[in-house]
Amino acid sequence: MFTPINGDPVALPPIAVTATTPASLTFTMPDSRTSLGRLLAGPAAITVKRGNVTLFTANRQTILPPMNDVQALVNQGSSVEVLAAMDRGGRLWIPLDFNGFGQNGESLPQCPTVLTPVTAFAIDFSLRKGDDQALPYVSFGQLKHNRLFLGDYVVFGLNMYGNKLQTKLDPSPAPATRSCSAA
Amino acid sequence: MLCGLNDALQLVVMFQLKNPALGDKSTLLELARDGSPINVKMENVSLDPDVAAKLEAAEYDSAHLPCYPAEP
Repeated sequence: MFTPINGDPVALPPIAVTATTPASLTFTMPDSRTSLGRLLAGPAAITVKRGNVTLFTANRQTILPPMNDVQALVNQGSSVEVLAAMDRGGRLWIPLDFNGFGQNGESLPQCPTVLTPVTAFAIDFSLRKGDDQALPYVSFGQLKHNRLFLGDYVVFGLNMYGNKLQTKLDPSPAPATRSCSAA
Repeated sequence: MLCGLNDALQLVVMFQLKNPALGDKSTLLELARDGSPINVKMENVSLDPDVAAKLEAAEYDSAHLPCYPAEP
């Protein structure tokens, strides 16, 4: 069930899941566009039942929108929008997928995994309210204190999804550009 | 700027918003109160070769990691 801040709860139809191990449960969050006709993201509560018996409830979850396809975005035009989710702590989460650039990046021999090749592109971004109004909720200092997490990333057969990286993005301008990235 | 770091297939970026984002007058909350995702506008998106050339001149990325493998 989605539990928007200051909004009414929105329930998704129940889905069948199977425990991954005796102590863990892994499942793909269903796309609400299929069942409700519109995309939902943000705060949510997950209840797991067996029959009518509630096994556990996870109340303070944050459901991310589908991964934003960065390769498609940079080919789309100079002005694009990405989907993000805000949690109850006022944190903004932006999932980015670089698979579109290919999966032939070079991995270290001792750490075989699928990587995307380094591809240079530039991006400038701001929060947006309406057609052109930026929202005053992000400071440069807060941008500098960003955190990075892995999405789906399999190494030695283990999916490292959700692991926080030790490094942060530094939004300092690159030479002759305002801000930029290279995947 | 990301380069050497960002060979992961997927990343999730998170940053804290200012306190008013959760305040009573927050326009951001109003946008999300029906459960909709937040739209973040990206501008000046470019794959132009001249942009790439400038980026490729960088020795280190924003995580202070080398952008390209050292020459043998």
